[in-house]
Amino acid sequence: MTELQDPVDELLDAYFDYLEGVGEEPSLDHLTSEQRAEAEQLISSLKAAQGMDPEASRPSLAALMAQASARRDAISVESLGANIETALRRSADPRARVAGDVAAQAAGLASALVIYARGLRIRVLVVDEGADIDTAYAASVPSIAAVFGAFPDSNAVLVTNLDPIPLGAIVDRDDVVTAIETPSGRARPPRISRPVLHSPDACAHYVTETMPAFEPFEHLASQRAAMSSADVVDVDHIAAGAVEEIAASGARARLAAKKDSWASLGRPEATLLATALRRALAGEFDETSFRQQVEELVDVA
Amino acid sequence: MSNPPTPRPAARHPLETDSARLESIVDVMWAQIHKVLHRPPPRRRRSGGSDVAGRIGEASTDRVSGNGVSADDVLAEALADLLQKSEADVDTSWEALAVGIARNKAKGALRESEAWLHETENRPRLTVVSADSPGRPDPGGGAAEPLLQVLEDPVDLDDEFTKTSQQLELIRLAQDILDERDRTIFLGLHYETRTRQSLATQFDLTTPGVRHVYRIVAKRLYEHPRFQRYAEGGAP
Repeated sequence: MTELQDPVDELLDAYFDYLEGVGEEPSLDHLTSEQRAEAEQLISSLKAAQGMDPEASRPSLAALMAQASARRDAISVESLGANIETALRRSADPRARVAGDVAAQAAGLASALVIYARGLRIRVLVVDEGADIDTAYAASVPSIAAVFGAFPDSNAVLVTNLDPIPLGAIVDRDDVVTAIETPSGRARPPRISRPVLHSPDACAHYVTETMPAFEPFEHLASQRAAMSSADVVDVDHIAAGAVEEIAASGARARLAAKKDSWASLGRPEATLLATALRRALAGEFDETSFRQQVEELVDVA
Repeated sequence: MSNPPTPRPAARHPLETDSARLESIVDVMWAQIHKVLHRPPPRRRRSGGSDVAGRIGEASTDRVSGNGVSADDVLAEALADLLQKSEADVDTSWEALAVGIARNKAKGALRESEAWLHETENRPRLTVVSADSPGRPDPGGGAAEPLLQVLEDPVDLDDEFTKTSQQLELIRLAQDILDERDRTIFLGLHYETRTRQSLATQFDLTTPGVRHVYRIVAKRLYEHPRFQRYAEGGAP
């Protein structure tokens, strides 16, 4: 005699067949409402469990919070670097850039970023969120000194926090050593000599003060395209000044011949020199011709 | 140049002040990440049935670890993202937001590891249809609404949080109150890490016997007061 199987058992077997890949997903249509309620609970729970691993143990909350904090700091450092780069490009150097300080991190040093602007290199040391910069600086002096020591090409270190509005101060190489203070003559401990500012502003101030922007050398000449270098330079004045200087030197000479010859230089020589200089500026200078003219002047003298 | 602002202490995230709630959220995020990373491929009928492997699915294998991404890393990243959010980002609840972030991070990790596109033969065929084409006919005889209007969010994140919490409680309950045989059978079948045949062999049972044990144990767990509290939407 064949024992009749419970419909929910049959359905469960069919569903496990389906999960094991040997059957189609069974239908619940033939079940009574009571059977259907139980079957639905079982299958719904099996579906909700899909992919879960009962053996997996998750990391502790403390470890996760530490990782989350480190990740937030990394994002904040990246954002700070972008803000500094933008501020420097706007106010100091259109080619300024900020990059991760891979070299310092590889050496186990505390610098997180390197700022390149107008030939300067500023390394960035990040202190705790919300920290007072003066206090944090005092605690970080050894770390900053280590950065200066490891990277002699560093002009300064920015000590900054990662607050929503980051505050920081630029530290010079001289700020991390004990110094003799005037007029007292007493040794003073390291301290920040520059003001605590919004960190991007602190960098921009430092770069502008330390490396003022110079006009390009060709700037004046290039303002008027038609103007040549000879037009810009007062050739007669330069030649007269040079001759006058040599004549004055000759007046102080101890050798009589030198005294006589140098002191006798005057307008003819200045005129010759001005002509030669004018030709040189125009790209027409001929050394042979110049020597010949000088010799003629000597003969006349 | 702007004036230097006044320093202010760093604010704590609202969830950091309620460690019990944060623990339960992190538990669910962890489970959700596993569900995405280890979701079994769509079912295919195998030609044979009796010689299937003792373990099914890939639940115990970290499919993305080959590229240096693990569930631990994804969870850390997802939690960092959650703790970056403010109250203004919460549409329904922190729990739903956490589920959404965990699922998206896990999917992102799968995409980065290129596992997302593996096993193309297992992916369902895609059919492109116009969103303004008519959907299913109205059972009442009315005109069918365009598909665009009947599309629904496929996942209710609050509901997903509750269901996952229940599953986590089932695991804890099974570990707390079941003997070794019942626990192995229930967890093995329920979380698809074992076949009935392999469990039958291990415990000298028939495969219907394994199913019978599973059903009895499942009923016992679902009716347990600890699970009932979860089933009613609360947490012990």
